[in-house]
Amino acid sequence: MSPRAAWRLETLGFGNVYDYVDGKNDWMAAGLPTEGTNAQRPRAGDIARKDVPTCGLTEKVGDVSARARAQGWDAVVVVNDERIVFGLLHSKELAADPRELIENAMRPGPSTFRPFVSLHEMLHFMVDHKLESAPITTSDGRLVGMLRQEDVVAAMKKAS
Amino acid sequence: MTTPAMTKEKCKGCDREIDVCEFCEQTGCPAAICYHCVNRELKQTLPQPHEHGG
Repeated sequence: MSPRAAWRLETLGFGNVYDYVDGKNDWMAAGLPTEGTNAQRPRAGDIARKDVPTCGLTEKVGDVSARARAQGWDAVVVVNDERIVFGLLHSKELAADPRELIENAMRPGPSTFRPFVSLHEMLHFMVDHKLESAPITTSDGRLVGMLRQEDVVAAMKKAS
Repeated sequence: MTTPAMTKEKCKGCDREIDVCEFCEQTGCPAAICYHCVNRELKQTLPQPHEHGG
């Protein structure tokens, strides 16, 4: 909360009051709980697939591609040990020379989106841009999951 | 020798020239949008100062 709100709460008798310096968006981007009317709306982080296949920079395209196929995915997120997103492989990149290193085959520095973005807004963009999936990360780049357009459509139908 | 002219996209939000659409990262995107505008439209950043309850 803002510093002024924190000070005001202290005058009202609250004890554990903190000024979250990085702001509300950063709080929500970390997947932390919120309250209020908007907190009930479904968001990207709620339905992003946590089981999206991941791989490291030094793996080979052939191995990663086979693993993704076995799990029924046509996208793989390239991460480090801390699950920080370095790159993305879609069908095109997964079809590269199987001996190629992931580091050379991946699309580096992909656009990522925060978990608190509303499904309605994400769907609007994904349809306009013909994007089937989008990686969802915290604001410090840690992978939350992969948002799939078909899941967004299903979730919005269920909610309406 | 001639060098091919680089075709730049224009952001649909602010009209600034961009290399590639920030949302889908595809060249030739008909709805190309820049980093600043996509973050604003998805409310990933809030314009400052903004109104809130604090």
